[in-house]
Amino acid sequence: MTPSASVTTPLQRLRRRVACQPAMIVLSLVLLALTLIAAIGGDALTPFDPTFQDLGSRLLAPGTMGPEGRYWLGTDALGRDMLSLLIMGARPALFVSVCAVAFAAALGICAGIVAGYRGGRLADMLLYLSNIQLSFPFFLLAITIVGILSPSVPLVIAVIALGSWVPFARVSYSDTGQIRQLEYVEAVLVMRGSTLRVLLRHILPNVLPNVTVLATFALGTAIVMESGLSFVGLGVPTATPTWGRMLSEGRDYMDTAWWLTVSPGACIFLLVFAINVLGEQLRDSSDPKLNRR
Amino acid sequence: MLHLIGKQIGLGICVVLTAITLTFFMVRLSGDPTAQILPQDATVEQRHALQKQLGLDQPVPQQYLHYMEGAASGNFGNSYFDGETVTAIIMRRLPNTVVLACASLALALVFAIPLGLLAATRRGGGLDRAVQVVSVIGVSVPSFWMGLLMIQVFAVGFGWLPTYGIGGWQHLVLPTLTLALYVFPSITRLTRSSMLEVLPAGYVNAARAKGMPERRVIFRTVLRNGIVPVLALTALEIGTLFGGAVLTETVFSWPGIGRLAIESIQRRDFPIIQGVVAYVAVIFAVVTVLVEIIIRIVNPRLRQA
Repeated sequence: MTPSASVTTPLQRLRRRVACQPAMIVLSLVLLALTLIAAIGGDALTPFDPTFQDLGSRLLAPGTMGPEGRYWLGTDALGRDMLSLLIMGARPALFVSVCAVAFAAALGICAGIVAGYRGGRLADMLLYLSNIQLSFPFFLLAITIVGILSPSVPLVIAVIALGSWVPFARVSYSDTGQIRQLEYVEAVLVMRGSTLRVLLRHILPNVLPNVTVLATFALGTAIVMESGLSFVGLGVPTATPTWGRMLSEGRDYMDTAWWLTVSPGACIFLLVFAINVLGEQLRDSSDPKLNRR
Repeated sequence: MLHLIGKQIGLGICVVLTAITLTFFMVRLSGDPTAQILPQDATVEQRHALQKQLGLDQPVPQQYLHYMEGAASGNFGNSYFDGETVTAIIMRRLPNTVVLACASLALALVFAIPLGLLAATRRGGGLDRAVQVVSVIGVSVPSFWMGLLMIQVFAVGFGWLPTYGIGGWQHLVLPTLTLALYVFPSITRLTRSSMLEVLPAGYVNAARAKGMPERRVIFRTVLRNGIVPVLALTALEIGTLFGGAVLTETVFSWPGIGRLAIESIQRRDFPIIQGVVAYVAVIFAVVTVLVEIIIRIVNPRLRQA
């Protein structure tokens, strides 16, 4: 590699990587876009009324022609169209996980930056707190909290955020510790810039790239957590079932209606897969040291 | 070395105390337990009598001290409904979860470590790329869906294995496989990256230079040095397994403590939940300390730290 080519901006590196493996990235972007459209469109996009129950057309196999149209993905035990239910499931899945990750990131970054800048006791406390958190199987804690206090949208978001803040805090803590010692931070302090100014204008922007990568992976994990909670009956209460709840409802019909457990899981998997693939691209292009090819 | 292990034990004690305290206060926050135990038409006297019997008429700090005192001697009270002690119920279920966790962890390690090592030594090769693609897919598959798919294929489709429940070794196959696949990707990835870090080290070259056969270099020098982070992750994965067991045990109706947790949440039988959380915290703390010790046995250089 010539020296001039090795100096690249993250955006250029991202473009280069996209050129390398177009199929995977295009696929991921399409999957993500479809989910977003479904989440925004909601019941405006469903081919059938997702809440309409018709026991005459229950458990129809995918592709069956109904009186009002084709059930492309079959119907569930109450005669609801699976495709319509899946479209309705996109909104709670995305809403809960995006909110949870946003809270976790905000909390983690604040705690990490302040602890990283001040150091000392505060930093010890933060690290110890995150150690305590990591020393307990989180999903058990999540079902305990949600189960005892009864599920609701804010509680599920709060619990998932509680399970995701540690990596944000740790990364922004260690990044801040390094940036703090750089000359330009010292220069701002010499010029009597306030601490707040240093934190917001000089440290935060430098912490953000790593945090963005983390947020992508955290989003995938949050979606799996949300559907896991729904699967054991502790997810957000919604009029139409979430993907996780569809899986647990379909579990009772596995020997007769395979499509009830295949498509909701596939939705979760494809969405999380797309997010993880994009996250990996983002990580590799934001850190030139990890750029392997 | 003793200093570090002491620190780890201190952390474990903190975790256990936090977990027990947290569940205690959440249960107190969630309302009056007598409303759940007694039928709807119970009289005020009956309610007061039960409150007195359960010690709920005392101030909360005193209840807390009393609960902690019991917990210290392994007494977490009785189930609200059948009156059996929480410890007895958990001890009946715990072996099932431990069997599942050990079997799946062993299965995952047996495949993940050699695969990660091979992928690292032939970096960029076909196997390496396959391992990377499979691990992205593996990280993205929800474990409970994996379990359902496996039931669909191997139990419903081919009829080779039982659908759910507990019994002979056949019942163990699908849940073990599901949990093993759940922890497999992260262990493989970490093994690969950890070995990649060790491979260019000076002491590896030194071992080669003195004429050590390549196989011996890989297995003695590279593996032993690169395995340390993998062991540390394995300790964390045991926690993941206990947490993930909640889902897997639900999928397979496996009567372990994960299933017990869900069942008692559905019945709002809170003493059992509190007990499960406490026991899992203790088990996890003990395992973490043991792994800290094992790491130092495997890699003597860390003993000085």
